[in-house]
Amino acid sequence: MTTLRLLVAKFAGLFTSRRADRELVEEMDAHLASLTDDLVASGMSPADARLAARRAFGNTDRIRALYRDQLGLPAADAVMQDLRIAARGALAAPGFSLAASGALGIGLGVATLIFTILYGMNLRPLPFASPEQIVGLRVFDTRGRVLFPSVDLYEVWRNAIEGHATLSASKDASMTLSGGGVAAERYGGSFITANTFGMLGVSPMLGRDFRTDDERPGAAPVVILGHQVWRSRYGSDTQIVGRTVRVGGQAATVVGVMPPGFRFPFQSDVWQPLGHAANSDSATRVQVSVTGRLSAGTSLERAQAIVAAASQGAATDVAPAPRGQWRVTVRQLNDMYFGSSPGIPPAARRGGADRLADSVRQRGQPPGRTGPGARTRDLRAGRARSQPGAARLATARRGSRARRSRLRGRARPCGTGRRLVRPRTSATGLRTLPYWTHFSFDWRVYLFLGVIGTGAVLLASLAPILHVTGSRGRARHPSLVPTSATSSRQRAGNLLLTVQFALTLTMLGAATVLVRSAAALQSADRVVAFDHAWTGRIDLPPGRYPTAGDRERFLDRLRAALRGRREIEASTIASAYPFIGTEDRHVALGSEGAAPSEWPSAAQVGIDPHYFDTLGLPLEQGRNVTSHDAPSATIAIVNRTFVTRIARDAEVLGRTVRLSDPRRPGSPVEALTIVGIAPSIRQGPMSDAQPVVYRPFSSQASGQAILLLRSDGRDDAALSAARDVVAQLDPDLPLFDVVALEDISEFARWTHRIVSTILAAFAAVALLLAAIGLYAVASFSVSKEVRTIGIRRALGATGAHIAAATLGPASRYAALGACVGLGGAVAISSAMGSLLIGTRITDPSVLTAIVGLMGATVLLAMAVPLRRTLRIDPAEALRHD
Amino acid sequence: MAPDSEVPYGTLDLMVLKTLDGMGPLHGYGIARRIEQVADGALALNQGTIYPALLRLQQKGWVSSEWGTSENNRRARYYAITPAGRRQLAAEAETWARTVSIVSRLLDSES
Repeated sequence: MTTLRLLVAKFAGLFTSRRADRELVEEMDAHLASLTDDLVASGMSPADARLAARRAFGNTDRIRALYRDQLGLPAADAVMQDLRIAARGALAAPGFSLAASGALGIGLGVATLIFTILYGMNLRPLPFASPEQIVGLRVFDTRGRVLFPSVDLYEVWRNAIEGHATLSASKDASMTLSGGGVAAERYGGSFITANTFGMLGVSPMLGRDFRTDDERPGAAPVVILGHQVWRSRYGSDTQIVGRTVRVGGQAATVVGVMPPGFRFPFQSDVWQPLGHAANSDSATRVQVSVTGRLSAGTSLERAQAIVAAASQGAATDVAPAPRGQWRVTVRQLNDMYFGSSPGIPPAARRGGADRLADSVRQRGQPPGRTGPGARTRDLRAGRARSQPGAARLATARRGSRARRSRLRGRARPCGTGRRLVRPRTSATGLRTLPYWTHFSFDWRVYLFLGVIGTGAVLLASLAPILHVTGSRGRARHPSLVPTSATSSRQRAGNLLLTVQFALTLTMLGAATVLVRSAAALQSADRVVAFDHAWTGRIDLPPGRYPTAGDRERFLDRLRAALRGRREIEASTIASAYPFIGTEDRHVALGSEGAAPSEWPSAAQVGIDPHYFDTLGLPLEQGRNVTSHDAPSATIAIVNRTFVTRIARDAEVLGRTVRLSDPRRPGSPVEALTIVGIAPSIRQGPMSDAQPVVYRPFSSQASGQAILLLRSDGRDDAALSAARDVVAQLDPDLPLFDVVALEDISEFARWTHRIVSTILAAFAAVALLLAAIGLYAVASFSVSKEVRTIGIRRALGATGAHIAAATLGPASRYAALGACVGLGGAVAISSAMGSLLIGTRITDPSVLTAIVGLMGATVLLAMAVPLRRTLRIDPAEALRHD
Repeated sequence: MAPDSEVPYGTLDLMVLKTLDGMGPLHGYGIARRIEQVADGALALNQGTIYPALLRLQQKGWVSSEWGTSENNRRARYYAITPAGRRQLAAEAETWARTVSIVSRLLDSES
């Protein structure tokens, strides 16, 4: 108790030391005065009495020191004192201190950011019990590409590894929920084996898990709903279990609802037993993803060995590739997704038009967030729904964000999926992340920040200590210190400066050309009129629309019904979105002799009449596709890029363009007559324009259609009308992925925007750090040379001479770095290849921009040291130590 | 008279407590004078050392202090023993007595 009291008192003493010292001095003075008085009274002379009193009292300074030690915690006191000295030092050179702490802050921030990403992807444990036991199995071919095992192979593995691990299989698919008087909605779903949830150790929140009975052929169809679907579509109805809903147009009984946040295996909201997959999939063999839980005591290597041995013995008709040309790996689930092996997560291989993956949501927020992000999203959707007036106001501002939020609000209850799409084949390589991956701060990230922060501060404070110790040593034993110590330190500093400037310029160059490319894409897309233009998707399931005739009949009724709605000014159907989504063809004009595989490539897009009207693009020459043209009509419209690149600006109207499908090399070549020339719109995310052949939309190939429409200004009404029209024609069919056309353009520029934003951010940080580095080196040279400068001044040297002599070296190293960096920028931008649109690093405007920015930075960084140099007074400098 | 000797280690606190217990509130000078008076020149006390000791006793809660005016009209800090200080004094006095008696007995038996 007393010890605690003492500690508290000493801690409090840390903050009252000044007052305590003042009072002690007052007490001691009174003490000495009283003692002196008494001694005088006893007959001593005042002078002797004063001396005697001092003797009797003892050394006052020592008493004060003892008192101070007793008052506080001596160690803490020393730290406080150091801090005070440091603060005084920092205040004495505020610019430098700000620069140093800024550099430290940026460094810590970037390190933490990188850690957060790594941690989110690889280190955060999976949200399941004993997460380290959860593994994924993946099959690769000899070239490292991912193959998907069949159900049969899964069963071979499952039987072989029984006792060592439990395996489960899943197949992702889009699932449409309809019925119950609510419009059809499309969700990400999965067909799974009945043991999946049990293997993970997760149980439904309501109802029951799947049973093996549910998987048997002929079993009554059942479905388990995700929490989000249950909440948004079924109003959190606790009586939902046992009710019948329609999944993909077929009745199924809801048997359970999963707990909030659960979306296994990737981003699923609806689950059905794997046995149902065969019904919905036209593929002959269902391909699956395999996940499992190792039993306690089974190592990854053991599991790998068992599975590999079983694969060896598997029959050839079960194997995904000929014997010896494939291998299977067993890895922890996060390693499988984010590890070094290349791979495509299941979400990126959904069937049909769902090859287009990812989402608008993904661009705005981390995907698959089940925490605050998801809540924000829902809130936003809810707000937009409940406040249409406010949302409309927001839309009036033409803000893309506002438009999107209204869109979500409207789209969700009306039965559209919330996904916007993006080709999985895109060269971006970016993929959706599993639902458990989120990049947020938790205690581990804070701990990391704390550790590296402390480490950095310790390192930073260690350097001056070593420096001081070193200089003391030098002072005492000059012979022991190599004379090159200072110059080697200086050399290291100069090298650092050179490297820093080289890296900065490289990044600056890359960022500049990318930002310009992004701008070029944006302006290229601007040929299309975005106002009140919307897009949506319809997939006609082969089960209910088996023949081309069925599909064509539906689309004809859809076209007619859309024309009958006054809110919809123009509408059209196409096989692909403008800006993204292409079907490649080899094309040739006339009767070229080369083999089709040698022909140049072009994009093929199927269009309806009014396609170009709906986009607000008048044809340059010739005529449009009209309603008189049958879907089988052998006519084509080509774009301006086709004319310049493929026809080399020759006359094309009336000529024949031949098309060959590169994916089916032996298929017959089609011949179409060119009837019109359209302005260029790009069809791929990686170029500003490419040759495109438009031909009448034919539902022959698939049941997937893109609906483009332009409202008369009443966007909400037009979208509702479009949804009503689809629902009236087929209540089980959703109009999904309803988004503004401008969002498609923005989406197609996603890679450029993200990469250029990240690069620009890094370049800005690098530029700042380079400026700080240059400033530090220059300031250091000035402070070191004060005496020399003074002498030169006194001898009559001009300011320019002195500045050149003092700051010259730093500038020279910066310039050297900049030259190296320029080379780096040229190299990196040539490596960027197709990412660069209409711009090159060697463009004079780009070079001017980079060099100008760099020059301005150098001037800014040098301004203060230069000013100091020129203001040095010779008389004062000579007194300088 | 015996020659001056240093204050035995750890006994200054005990002496201060005993002085305050016996004399009531006193300022630092008063305490030092009282101890010297009792020691009758047998103790070489640097009077200033009383102040760190008083601070230590205050921090432990055995002594309290407040500012007042001394007999010759100087501003002075008066120290008083607290109930906890009294308890501590009793305990320490007992320990001291026991130690002294043990040492005395030991010395007696040796002689």
